[in-house]
Amino acid sequence: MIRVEVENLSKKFNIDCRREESALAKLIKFLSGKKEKRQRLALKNISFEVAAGQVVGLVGRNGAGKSTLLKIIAGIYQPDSGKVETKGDFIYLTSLGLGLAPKLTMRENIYLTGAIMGLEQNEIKQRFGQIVSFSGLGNFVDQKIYQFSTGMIARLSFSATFYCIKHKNPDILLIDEVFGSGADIEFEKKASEKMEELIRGGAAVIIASHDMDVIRKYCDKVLFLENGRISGAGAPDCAISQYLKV
Amino acid sequence: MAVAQFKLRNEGSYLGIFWYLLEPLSFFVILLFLGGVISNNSIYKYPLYLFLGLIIYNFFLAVTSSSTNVMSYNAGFLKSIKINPESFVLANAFQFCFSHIFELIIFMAFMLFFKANLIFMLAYPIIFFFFFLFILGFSFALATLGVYLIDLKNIWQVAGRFLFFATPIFYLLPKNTWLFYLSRFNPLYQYLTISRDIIIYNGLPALYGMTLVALISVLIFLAGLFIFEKNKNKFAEKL
Repeated sequence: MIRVEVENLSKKFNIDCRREESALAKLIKFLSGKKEKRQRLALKNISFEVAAGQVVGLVGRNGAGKSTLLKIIAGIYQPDSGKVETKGDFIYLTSLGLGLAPKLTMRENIYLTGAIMGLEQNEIKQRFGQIVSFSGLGNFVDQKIYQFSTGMIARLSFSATFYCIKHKNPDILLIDEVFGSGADIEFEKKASEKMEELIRGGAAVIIASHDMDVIRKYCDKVLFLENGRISGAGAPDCAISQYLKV
Repeated sequence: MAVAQFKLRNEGSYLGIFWYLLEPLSFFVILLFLGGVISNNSIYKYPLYLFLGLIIYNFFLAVTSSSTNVMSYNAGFLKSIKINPESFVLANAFQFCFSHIFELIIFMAFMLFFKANLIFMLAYPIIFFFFFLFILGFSFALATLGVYLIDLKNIWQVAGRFLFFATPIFYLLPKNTWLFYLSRFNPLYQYLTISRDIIIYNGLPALYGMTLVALISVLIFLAGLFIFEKNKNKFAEKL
């Protein structure tokens, strides 16, 4: 069953810098009649499909369009043209720990992450024990996290994000550069096993990564993106070697 | 989320709420001195008139001003999770409700001190409900505009200063003047008048006037929400 269908997808971004977004700058621009816009083509005529149980990898340099593509599929960005169709519940995993507030305690951060990820108060309460136990940070629950080491923050952010996922068995899984929690070897192993469990759960999976070992290990098919276009597609080894030649 | 934001705003200082209250309190003392001692004004129960005006204005400005950059403040989330951005505007507005409760407690202490009848405070939740809708309408519109104008907060704070002097917070509007007629179009003035008439002067303003204010508040709320809904899909990529 096809879970993700992308057809002739294109996306452009305006690249006017932020200082041009002040009210005065906009007024001057309006009065001067200047209308030119600088644009960058992020994606151009992208088409592919992902079936249930299939794992597709996205490779390419920084700025090639991998994250933009995933964000459009996840509904965070809107396409300029083309079609994206998804069937079923999906989760989009990106830079873990983005939303942790250093001045709040670990407990408060878990509740905040859960609320932002759409969980009800009682659902977070139910998962709270699992998060603390998986992170191995049971002794620091009421400590403010600006006092945490980088590794401890990595443990917390992975555990909180992972256990606050709304759909435990998603139909579509989008993973944007989140392999490797950044914690110690013991936790890294646990985290990798959890990720693997999620990936092998039968969902249609799309992984964007620079880690070629991860792409080789999990993906059935790889798309090589270059300047917003698909430059190569096929078996992992073939697409990866194409990418590495560039 | 509102609780987390409230804690973050007041973090690092046990006097966090005091800092929020300091502005209306200090203004209260200064204006009481200027209005009562220097110009020797004749407004009945002036301290209550002034303090109620200040806290209502303070709440309006705090919520709306903070809404101007609520989207850029949460840009990290908006860019990485499919989330309802309305929740950020609502959480932002609700966090100030906690502080407003403290202001109201102080106001009630003043009422006791000046021997005013506290029972009329029971009308405030109804007034506040519509006032809050009115503020939310502004907040949704400002949150949207703030995505496109990075200096909106500065502009809004200047506008807030104008509004402070244009609204009879510390003075009484002289009747039959152009400012009096103009103020009838200022919803903040209407809320101040209704609140003061009921809570301080224990009177009942004209029903049609109150209905009109309630209706305008609902319309402003719907208009703000409409602007927000029309634009929210573009927030993640504009920020």
